[in-house]
Amino acid sequence: MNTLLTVLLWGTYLVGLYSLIFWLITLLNTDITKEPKLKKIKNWPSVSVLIPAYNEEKTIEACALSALSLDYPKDKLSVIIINDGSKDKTKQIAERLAKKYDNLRVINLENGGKARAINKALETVDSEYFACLDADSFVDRETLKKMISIFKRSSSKVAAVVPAMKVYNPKTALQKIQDIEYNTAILLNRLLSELDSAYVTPGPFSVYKTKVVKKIGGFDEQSLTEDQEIAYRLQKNFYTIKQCPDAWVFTSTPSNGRAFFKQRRRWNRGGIETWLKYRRLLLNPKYGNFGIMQMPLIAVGYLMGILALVFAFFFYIKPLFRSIHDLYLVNWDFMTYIKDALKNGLFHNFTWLNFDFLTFFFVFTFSALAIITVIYAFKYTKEGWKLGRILMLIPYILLYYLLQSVIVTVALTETILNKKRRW
Amino acid sequence: MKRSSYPKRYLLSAFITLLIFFLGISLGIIIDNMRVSYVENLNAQQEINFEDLQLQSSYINTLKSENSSDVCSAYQAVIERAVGDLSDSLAEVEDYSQNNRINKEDYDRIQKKYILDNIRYWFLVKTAKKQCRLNTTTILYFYDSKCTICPNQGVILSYFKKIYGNNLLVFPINMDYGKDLSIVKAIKNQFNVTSYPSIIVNGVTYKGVVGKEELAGILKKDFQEANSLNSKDEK
Repeated sequence: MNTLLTVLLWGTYLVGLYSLIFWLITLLNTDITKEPKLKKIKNWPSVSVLIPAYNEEKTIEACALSALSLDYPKDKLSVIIINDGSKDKTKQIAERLAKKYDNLRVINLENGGKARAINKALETVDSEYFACLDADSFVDRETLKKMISIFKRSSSKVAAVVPAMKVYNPKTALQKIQDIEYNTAILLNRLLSELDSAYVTPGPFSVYKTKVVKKIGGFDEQSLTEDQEIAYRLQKNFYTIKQCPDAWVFTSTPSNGRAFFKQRRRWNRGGIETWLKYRRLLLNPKYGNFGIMQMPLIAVGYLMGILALVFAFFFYIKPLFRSIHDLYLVNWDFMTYIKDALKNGLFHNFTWLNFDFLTFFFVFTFSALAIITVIYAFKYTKEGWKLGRILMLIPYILLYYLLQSVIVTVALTETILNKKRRW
Repeated sequence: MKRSSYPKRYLLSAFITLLIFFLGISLGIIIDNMRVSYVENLNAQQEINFEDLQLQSSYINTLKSENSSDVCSAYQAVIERAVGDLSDSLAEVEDYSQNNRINKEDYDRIQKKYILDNIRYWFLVKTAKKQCRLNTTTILYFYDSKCTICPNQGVILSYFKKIYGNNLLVFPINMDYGKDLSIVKAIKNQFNVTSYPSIIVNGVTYKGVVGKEELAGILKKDFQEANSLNSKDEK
């Protein structure tokens, strides 16, 4: 078991280090300091913003207003709220807003899921581009112009542009940790965009070419994560997904463990199912970086979730139980140990002999790279460093990924057992 | 349509990854060599200490009938310190066994040497205890790596070591390495050590894990005997 554990540990280490270095090289090859300037466009193309909403009475008004007040020619922008059979006041709020604003309309549907809601609305849309905006997210005024500029400056193969997502008003510790994660993701998405390897066009304000999405058959109504499924499908059809690095969108994130678990379980389950659906792209040189690098890395990422739990068992949980058991052996007389530590110092036994170099090297290289990435990411997303944020790095590095691995493991097990899916 | 891929970048990343990996491995080897030389150093130091003690022991023997208390008190301090050093370095060698991954042969040799050192000191302290009435208790502790409950005994022994400090001298014998040594076989036979863990306290063998309360009782009795002998002597 020990040899197997060591081999797995070093294997994980090599793969993890490899991907980090690959991204770092990509980062060095990318001039990310230069921000894409707003293109001077005379004729802005027509855009529809689709807001699918199911029981979103708390945020729907603010969300719709943020879309309506986008800095964009009014005659080119229309907002559509798709009420997916809400049981709360979403419908009333949406219809009240529709009376007030000419370029806002409401589609009322029987409840049938987000993908179907968007597809139904797409049938009525003839604008050149459309954006999906989750009803719990809010978009920055400048965002749409910035994103349309990306379409205009890039090759015609670009079918979708993704925004830079930030956490809306992080209050709880969990939200503050997610705030670090989202900021890091902005940098990572930028790199994936460079590599043409984006595998998700997130629900909060991704902009698509209407023609292309209609051509490839709209959103998959069976998928748990239609925003990942459509991204894979675009990749499969040789379309490109670009990120607009300063197109800010603020999204509400789960505030407690239960909601977080539910959200991430769905993301992971949907992600695994989507990956399996498009597994033929794996290592397929026709798909360039996406096939050769990204597809394997996504799979390794899911497998690492399980491995992380195995490692956590051997390096956190087993030693913890061992210490508790040791204290039990001496009838919980921990005072003797405290006295000894106070007298001789905690590390008085330290010599080169008991210095565990393997663990040190492992933890050191990874923490160093992780901290560099986070610092760089925050610089990139123009976020300041407050004490609270620095403190949140500790649970972010030590616990957050462990929590994620638990969820990944649950999602993987459910997929393998083909358990009935729940939203 | 063909999409872009960056084979050069894949290779460069692989190269850097392997570079860091081998840097880690080489540093590991260097540290391991440092460990071996560190242990050899300790060995040499122990050797000198031991000879010093042995000479003192012979010296005290020649004094015999004369008043040896002055020499004894100095001797007691030296022996306590020396044995304390030995047990510290043994703890280090134990840790080394968990972290060592490369120098198997060196490690075997060092372990055997330590077992012999331990037994030498154990003898010496036994004699010194008679000669000088040292207020010291010795424990000879037999264990091997196949025995799953032995670590429990180890925890309890190091707990008492923390309480009694240098007055309690624990001499661990790792039977993984000691089984071929004839002196170890002789002691095993004499004290009827048949299973692990076993501890020998003041000539009595206890088999199986001796719990905290039981060992506390044994040690207390042993220290009281030593004290009463000393006080009788003073009268």
